[in-house]
Amino acid sequence: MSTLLLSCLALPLVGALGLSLLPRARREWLRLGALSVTLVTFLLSLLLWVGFDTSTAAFQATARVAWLPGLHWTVGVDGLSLLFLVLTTFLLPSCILAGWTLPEARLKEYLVAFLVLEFCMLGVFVTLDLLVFYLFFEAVLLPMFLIIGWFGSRARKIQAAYQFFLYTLLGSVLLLLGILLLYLQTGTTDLQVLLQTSFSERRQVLLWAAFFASFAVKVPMVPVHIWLPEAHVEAPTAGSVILAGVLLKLGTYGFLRFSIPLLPQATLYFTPLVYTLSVVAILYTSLTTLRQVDLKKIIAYSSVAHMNYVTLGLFSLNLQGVAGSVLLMLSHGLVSPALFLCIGALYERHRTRLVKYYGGCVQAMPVFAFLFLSFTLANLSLPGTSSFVGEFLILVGTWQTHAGVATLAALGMVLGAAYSLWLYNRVVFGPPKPAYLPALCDLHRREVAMLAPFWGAVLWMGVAPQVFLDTVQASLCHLVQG
Amino acid sequence: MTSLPAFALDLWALLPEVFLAGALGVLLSYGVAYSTSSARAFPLLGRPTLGLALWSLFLTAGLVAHGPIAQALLCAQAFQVDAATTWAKLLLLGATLGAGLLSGRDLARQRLAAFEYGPLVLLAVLGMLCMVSSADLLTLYLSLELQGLCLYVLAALQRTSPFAAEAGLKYFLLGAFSSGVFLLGCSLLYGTTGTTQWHALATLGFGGGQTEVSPALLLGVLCLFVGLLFKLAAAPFHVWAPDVYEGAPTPVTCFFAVAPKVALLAALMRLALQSFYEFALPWQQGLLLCSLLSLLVGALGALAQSHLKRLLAYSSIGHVGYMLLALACGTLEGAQALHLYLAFYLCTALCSFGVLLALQGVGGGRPRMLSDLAQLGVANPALAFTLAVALFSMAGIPPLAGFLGKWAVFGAALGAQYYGLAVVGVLTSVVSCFYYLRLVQVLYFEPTTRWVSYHRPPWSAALVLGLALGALLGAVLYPSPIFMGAHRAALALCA
Repeated sequence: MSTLLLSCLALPLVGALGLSLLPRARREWLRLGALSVTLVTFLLSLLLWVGFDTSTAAFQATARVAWLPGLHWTVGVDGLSLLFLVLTTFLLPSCILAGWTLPEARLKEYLVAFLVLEFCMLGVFVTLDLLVFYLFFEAVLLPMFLIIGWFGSRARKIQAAYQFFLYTLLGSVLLLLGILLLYLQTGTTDLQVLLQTSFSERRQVLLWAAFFASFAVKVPMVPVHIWLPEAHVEAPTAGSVILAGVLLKLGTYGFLRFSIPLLPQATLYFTPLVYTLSVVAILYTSLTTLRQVDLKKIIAYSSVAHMNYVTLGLFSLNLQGVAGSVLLMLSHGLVSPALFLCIGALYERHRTRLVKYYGGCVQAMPVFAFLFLSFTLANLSLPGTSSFVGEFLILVGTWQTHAGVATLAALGMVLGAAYSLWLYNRVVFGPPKPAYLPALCDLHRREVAMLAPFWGAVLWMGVAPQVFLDTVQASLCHLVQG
Repeated sequence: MTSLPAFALDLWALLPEVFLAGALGVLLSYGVAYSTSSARAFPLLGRPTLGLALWSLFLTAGLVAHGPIAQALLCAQAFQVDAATTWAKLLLLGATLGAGLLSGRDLARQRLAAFEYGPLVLLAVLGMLCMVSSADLLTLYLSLELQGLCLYVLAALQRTSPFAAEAGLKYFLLGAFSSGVFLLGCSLLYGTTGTTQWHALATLGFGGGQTEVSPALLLGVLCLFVGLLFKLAAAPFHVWAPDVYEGAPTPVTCFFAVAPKVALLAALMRLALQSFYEFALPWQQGLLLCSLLSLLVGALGALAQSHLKRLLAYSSIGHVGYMLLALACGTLEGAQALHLYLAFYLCTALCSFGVLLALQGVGGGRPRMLSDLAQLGVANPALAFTLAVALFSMAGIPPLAGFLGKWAVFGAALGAQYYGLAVVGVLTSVVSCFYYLRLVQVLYFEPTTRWVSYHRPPWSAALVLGLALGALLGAVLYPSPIFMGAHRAALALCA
């Protein structure tokens, strides 16, 4: 098992090194190489899931690598990290396919950057050491910065890349200080040891605040969410896929992995703050979404709203709420990337993302209209899609701790339906805009190949969520009771 | 610490310095005899002299690494050798060697003062080696002056350039002034305590800063530190640095950015942690203030710069701030963090200056401003990647080596309970990230209309750049050797 995990982790890095040695002119080799590396990684992660023992909350497939005298790097997965591992490896082939047609001058950088990014993200999820977690958590910035700055489409991309980098860094350095404080007090950064340690309440509050500064930026919570729409709009399609699919989850994963189990008293102490910020974010960003004219910004703001549902569920601290959060994270990791891929398909045809130029797509693009409809419905949590299970469980869980918050959050669902349906209505229905008709050809095979897996996964999670719940149940029970 | 009788083994322990002095003498006479004679191929002499100088540096490094005596007090307690001096000397020689290899082609191209560069660098390094191993205020002063004089000349090496003359003059005036301040400190200390030997000073016992000490003594210590901090270009004594960095020819700037910092920090550590450890409170506060100011100046000053070398000058001020923060902790962890940070700083400085030196336009132009590097990522991907890695490492982004240094420094600061300063440190590191990113943005994202094609860098520069890049990227994978080296050096200091 641990060999499987380590090879799953190492494969993207090895692939990136291999690709960087290939000549730039061999486009076919580069593309196929990157695609096969990501596909094999996905298969390995599936094997890991198949061999996973769902009956225990202990970390499985653990391995220790000596790093510094007194410091070891421990890797391992539990149900929680395993699902995110699979999600990450699932998204990467689509990212490679999204960049399939890049010109020779930039293709190699694109592929290498995405493989390095995959390595860093997998590292975040499998590491069981706080310091190494921080290493990977921050290292994600470098390839993502280059992806936004290099492959973004407009001049504003530079500003977006800056905002992304600096916002995240500003939060993370405080996390670093928190980790150092922890290390000085306990002499270790090994999560499994730290979980057995208890801290004084004052120290917990301090550490929690330091952790929060970093994770809240990643989620993003409301006052620090500004970077997200910018980064989403300016990033290339695959960059948005990764941003929405995985990077936003790093914050909530951090809460779930570190803040809540390590600092339980501080978590209770700060729950009102998190609830307030989450509800404000849900309502405020849902209303903001209604006013947006840029297709990508609409999806970006709706992502903020969904991620704040997740924080709401996490801090309800009961099994329904937390399990719902995990499911919603996964579901959002499928739906949001799929919507970005849809918008990417539109953008490739028309070179604009402004809603007002679109209309009547259904006449010429029926397949696109169908897929886009499915994902739009999933975005507004229609029963039968993956998001419904998550949001329903979150609302149930939150209702048990605070009925008022749950009511306000449910209001967000109505707004969500409003902006999703209105967007779909404007883009797909109505009279076709004549100036753009000639370019309205339907999705081609590569795009269908990118979107179909998402469609299947969304439906599977909506109809049979028990598989996913089984995987995380043991870990979450341990978390909630512990 | 064992003090050996008489001078029996002194020369053996100081073999590297003695060898370097001998090599210098030979090289100098060779250069003087042959450089003015057109019959004996005068213009061809520049490069062989430099090559020989670097070769003798390499041999000196070998002698340092395999010295027969690991720990001793020598020459009537004027010099000392231990693990800390060995570590600092190796860093110093390695960095100088790297800087020399990087600048070979550039010196030849600019026809900088034919053969003098090599011997001058050797003489400066000799002074620095003596600084590192000095154990007496007078030895320190003399070696400080020896290296200082060479550096002033080096700054003005490009005799035809008014900027270089300005740089040399500024450096000389302020350097002489700070030397004067340092000497005043020495005499005040001698007047109040009656000794200039560090070990004697260490045993005097100043009462831990608790009891009343004479103001003259306090002033003396203050003057010593101010003198050294001046040379180190720590804020608020930094004003000369950007001008000198910019005015001096780039090979010399590269040398300035690495070698003197090692020697000065080694001497400063010795003074603070050994001689005046009992006297910790005043110098700690002073160093904390300097560190704070350096962090702020380094982060904010660089924001407005558009010259590459000025930008790097401000960034080095910021790095000095981090190192002073580590020193001010006054703990073993602090000393270790400083050694570690210093090693990684040398790698990044060599990388960044190395790329500037390696970029030799086909038309003869070389990058001076930030905008000259636009789209280097397309024009020369390998060098652009090296520079980007160096910049991210300076910014302290994991998984690059600079992060390990920052981690150690902040860990030491929190361990010494400097919470406020640690927070300021991480915040200034975010601010400084802003201008490092600006340079990366210029390298990769900004469109340009002026495309420059560059000569291939020579193999020697490529070798140094490759090694430094490997160190920056690989340190996180296998950090134990360098951590252990820094730890041993710190143990020798704090024992």
